[in-house]
Amino acid sequence: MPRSLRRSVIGWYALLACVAFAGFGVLLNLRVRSALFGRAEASIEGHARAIAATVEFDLLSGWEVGLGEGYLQGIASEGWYEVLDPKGRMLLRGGTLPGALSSEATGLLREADVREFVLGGPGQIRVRVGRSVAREVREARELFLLTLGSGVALLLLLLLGGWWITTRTLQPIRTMSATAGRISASDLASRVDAEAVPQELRDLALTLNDTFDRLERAFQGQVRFTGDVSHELRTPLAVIRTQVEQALRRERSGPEYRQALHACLRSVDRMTRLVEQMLAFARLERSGAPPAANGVALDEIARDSVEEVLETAATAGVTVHVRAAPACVLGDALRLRAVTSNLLSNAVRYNRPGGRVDVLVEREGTQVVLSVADDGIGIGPEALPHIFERFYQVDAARTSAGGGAGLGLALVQRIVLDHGGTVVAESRPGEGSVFTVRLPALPNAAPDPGANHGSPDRPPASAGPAGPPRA
Amino acid sequence: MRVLIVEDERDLADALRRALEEEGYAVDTAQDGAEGLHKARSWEYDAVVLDLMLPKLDGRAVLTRLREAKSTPVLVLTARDAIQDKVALLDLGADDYLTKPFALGELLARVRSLIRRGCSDPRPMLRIGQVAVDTVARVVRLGDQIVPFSAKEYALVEFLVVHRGELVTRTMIYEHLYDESDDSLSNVLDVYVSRIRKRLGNDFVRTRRGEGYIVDA
Repeated sequence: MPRSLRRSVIGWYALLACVAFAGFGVLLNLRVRSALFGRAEASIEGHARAIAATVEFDLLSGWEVGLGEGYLQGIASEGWYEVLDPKGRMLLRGGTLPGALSSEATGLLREADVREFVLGGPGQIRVRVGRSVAREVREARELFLLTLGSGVALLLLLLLGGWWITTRTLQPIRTMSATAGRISASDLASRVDAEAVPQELRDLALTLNDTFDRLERAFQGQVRFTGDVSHELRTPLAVIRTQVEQALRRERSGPEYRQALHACLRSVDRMTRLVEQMLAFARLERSGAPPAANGVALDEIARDSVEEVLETAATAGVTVHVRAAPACVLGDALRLRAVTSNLLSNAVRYNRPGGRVDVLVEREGTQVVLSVADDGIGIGPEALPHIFERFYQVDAARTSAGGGAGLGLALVQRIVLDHGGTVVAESRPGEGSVFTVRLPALPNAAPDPGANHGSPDRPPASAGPAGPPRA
Repeated sequence: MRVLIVEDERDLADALRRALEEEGYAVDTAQDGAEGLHKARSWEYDAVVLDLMLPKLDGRAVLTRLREAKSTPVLVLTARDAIQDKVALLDLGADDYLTKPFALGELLARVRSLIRRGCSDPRPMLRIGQVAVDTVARVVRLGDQIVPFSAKEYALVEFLVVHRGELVTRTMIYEHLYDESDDSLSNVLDVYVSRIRKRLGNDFVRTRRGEGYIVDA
């Protein structure tokens, strides 16, 4: 059976109450008993000492031993008394004596329901005064039974009360759990009413609501992402299908077939890019923060990416220039490589024939700055705030120029943010764009040789076709 | 019949334009929403094929603003297939929609159906005496014989038959049968009409001098 909160609350609470009540009962009983018996014992001791003193005085002064009759009768009515002279002869006696006194007994003698006080040893005047304490014993027993009874009654009351109180206390938790159950089942919009729960549970309610918020956002993000992906895949699929069906409707000339095939190829390229970027994104989403955090030489990564893009750039008539000073950052080389590759391929793709791309890596105080500048078509001011959004396409020109799938810049931003950096885009339509990435610099550290995934013995030449020498 | 394609995906727009042209439609294209709206409002199109994701002006905005002025039948191409998206589209005034990717044949059938619905006589087979115009197969029959016509000539026959009993002006013909890049002169129209008369009989089309043509019902 799982541990029950209710059972442990009631159990502990009842146990503590029982211990407290038992302690109280024990103290009460002891105190009352000592008061009851103490009074009886004090009374017989007092009588014994008074009688002894009087008798001794009478004997010493040679008077006849005598105590007030009323006094002795008073003692005899409650118990008994006996006075012996030093030779053991009985001087006075009254009441019902329980039996002969043993010679050595002295002081207070306690038996079950009898108390007796004896003064004087052998060769002295001996006085014994005693009485029955049956009444005290009875009273003490009554008190004990009363305590025990009320203890049991209290325990029952505690159990019932505890049940009722825990039920009441746990009710908001049950309500919350029901709400949570409903949320996970179907509608993500429900929330726990944090105003309606007790103070102590408010934090839990707020935390739950916060979790639900994040869950809902993540879910909506997922739905939007799936929708966006399906949209982005459907359009090139529509192109392929329509082009192919149109081409197959009748016999065509060679150029007409070629035109259709080229259109299909463009769509396939686009879908391929989309799938690759989606996978890259999914990998990021799955792994969360960068797993590999090594010293990474951003300048070398930038040069690697430039080399990759040179052929495409040459075909497009775009020159790429690099100026990269040694600069290390802490992070994941593969992902940072995705940043430089995406920025560079964008800079080449959205350029114009004869245009140029400038890549700059340098240290600036505690930061490493990577900037990729092109003098291509630029981005309009209305589009600039949205370019890092997933699947945002600037305009038709970008799309039809064989543009990306709309995930590249979102990927760049995500990676840079994961590395604790920032990425900013500035652009003037018709003049070009500058993307600036700033990452925290790794102070004076040599890069981890295994972390770069590039050839370690790359010639230190400029990577651009007309690039200035390496700084 | 004249159709406007508003689609920013150039490869898709091209394929659709060629397919529709081969069916004998006059086809105009627009690359973005603003251009599409402008053209749709400026000309009397018989149908508009409208993509939803458009630069400059979103397809929904194009539809909403077009509906303020015109009732041109609109076939929307959408990449979203959620029911609520489709309901929203129809409520905005779309006459039909297709989810990408679609079969070309289906798109052509839906365009035909939209155009027919816009006509006074929505039957796919139109008959005048011995002449039968099959708007699905896009052929004209005289008795049992299929009369050979070029796509443009067929389009003219269909247009005249759809508007039978009405005066069809030259302007109407230009608006509906020629796209904006077509600069054929008016004597080409006379050539088409004389060829139609040669095949279907002199009485099939009457000329009202200075006004236009009539096909009697």
